[in-house]
Amino acid sequence: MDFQGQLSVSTEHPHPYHESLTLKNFTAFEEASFEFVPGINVFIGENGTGKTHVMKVLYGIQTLVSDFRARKRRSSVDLTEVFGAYSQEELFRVSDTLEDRVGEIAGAFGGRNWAYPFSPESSEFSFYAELAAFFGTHPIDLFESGWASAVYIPSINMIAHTEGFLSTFERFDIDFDRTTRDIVVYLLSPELRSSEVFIWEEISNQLQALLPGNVVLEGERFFVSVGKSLLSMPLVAEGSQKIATLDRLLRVGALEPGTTLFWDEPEVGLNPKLMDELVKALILLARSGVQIFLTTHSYVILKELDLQIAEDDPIRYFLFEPTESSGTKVTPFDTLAEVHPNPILEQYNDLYDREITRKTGRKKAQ
Amino acid sequence: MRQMRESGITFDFAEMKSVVRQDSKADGGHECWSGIDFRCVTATGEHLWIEIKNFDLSRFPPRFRGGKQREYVGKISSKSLAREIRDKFLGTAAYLGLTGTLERQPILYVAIVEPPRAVDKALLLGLSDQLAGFLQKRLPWTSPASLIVMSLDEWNKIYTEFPAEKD
Repeated sequence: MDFQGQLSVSTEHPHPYHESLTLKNFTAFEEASFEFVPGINVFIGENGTGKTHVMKVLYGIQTLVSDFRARKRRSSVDLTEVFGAYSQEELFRVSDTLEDRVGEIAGAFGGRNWAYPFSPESSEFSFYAELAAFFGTHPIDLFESGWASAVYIPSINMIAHTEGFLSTFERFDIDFDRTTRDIVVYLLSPELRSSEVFIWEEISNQLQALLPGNVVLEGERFFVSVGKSLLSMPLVAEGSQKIATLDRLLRVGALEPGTTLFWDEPEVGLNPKLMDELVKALILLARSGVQIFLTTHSYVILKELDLQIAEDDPIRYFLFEPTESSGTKVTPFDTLAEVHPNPILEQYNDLYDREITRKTGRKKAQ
Repeated sequence: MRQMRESGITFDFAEMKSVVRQDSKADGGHECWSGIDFRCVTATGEHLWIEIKNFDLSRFPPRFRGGKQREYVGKISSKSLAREIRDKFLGTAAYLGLTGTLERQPILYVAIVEPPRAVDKALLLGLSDQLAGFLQKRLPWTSPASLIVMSLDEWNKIYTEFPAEKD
């Protein structure tokens, strides 16, 4: 198995970013292609259409590269770890026939194309090791000019579960995927020196104003100081945990210009009142050079993005739709208004129509 | 054909059993204070109170459109639009109550809101809920009322026998 990697033209964007991705016979995708923007990429669609899988593939690739960059050696990160899968076999498209079981994950990042065909029968399958070897064979220093790390915020609030998590994860076969481990590593990292901190001062101040108190790390456990007492993070509102997570990632330097932020359903547990500020922070991050990927089922998140985004802010919406052959079709849109059919909006439309029928006693003419 | 025009929208009320233009003495209304636009009774006996908020900018000269757009955004974000629509309802209800002419019939208050740009139904639903909250504490002298906010397009799909169109 060889990579069909080659250099492509470099982009005009000041930081490398995920430019494209193609998936073939991978999880929910028979075949799907993505052209991403350097700003905000929003994945919407019904449950089970593979939105999170796309984020995890991209995250896995970038994690490999940043690990490789840091250690100057092959990375041991495995795709199954990122997905929390038992075997590579699980990552193949479920309804594939045996004959068709050749897949491909390919893409472009930072102006470089990469491609990797795979099959579950391969005994030497190790996506990340091969990928590292591929990058390593090129004479060009792939790791200069701002290759930076990726941060994946899973839908579960790991900031409330940091104490003892890393040691448990390393020692025992627990049912948490690699993204949960990685976010805890970031959260428990020391904060940057104050002189370093704050390219993000404005955003961090906005986020901290939304919290009930200062976030304090004692040992491996987070607290919020409320008055004279400390409140354990698991007792703090879920929405505040989300805000505290993003703020902490800024303060430890996990998010910098050139990094990538993946956020799986940021709306989970978040009061809609906080979504305004959260989206504001995300847009500021994107403008500073952080490429952002979001999955969402929230009308408010989508509408806030639509209202707050400026005309020259790069944003793209990807609609994931189930197909008749149990796969997923992906369609990109550059504005929210163009997204059709919009499964989130359609649910509201249905609610509105039912409300009209209830109030007026009439049904709409088609 | 009984046509009535309000805020740049013309309604065909020929099929209505009765229509009162609330701010016009000539059409059965009064000029004491501000109220809703129309009180209607349909042929089947539905009591509809109609208030129209038309922010369609095309009916204004270009130099006024920026101001009208800002007015709409300001009203939506400050909830003053919801309060204004509520106050129109209460104004009419108060007048009818004080003059002993408020009929004890269930009323459906229909606020037709035409925003400057096409709007999601989710926002109309949100505005409906906000207004319903304002009107929830029914005063003893008002009739049982419910409320719905709809666009002109929705009106034409629901009340097909009373078509309306913008100028």
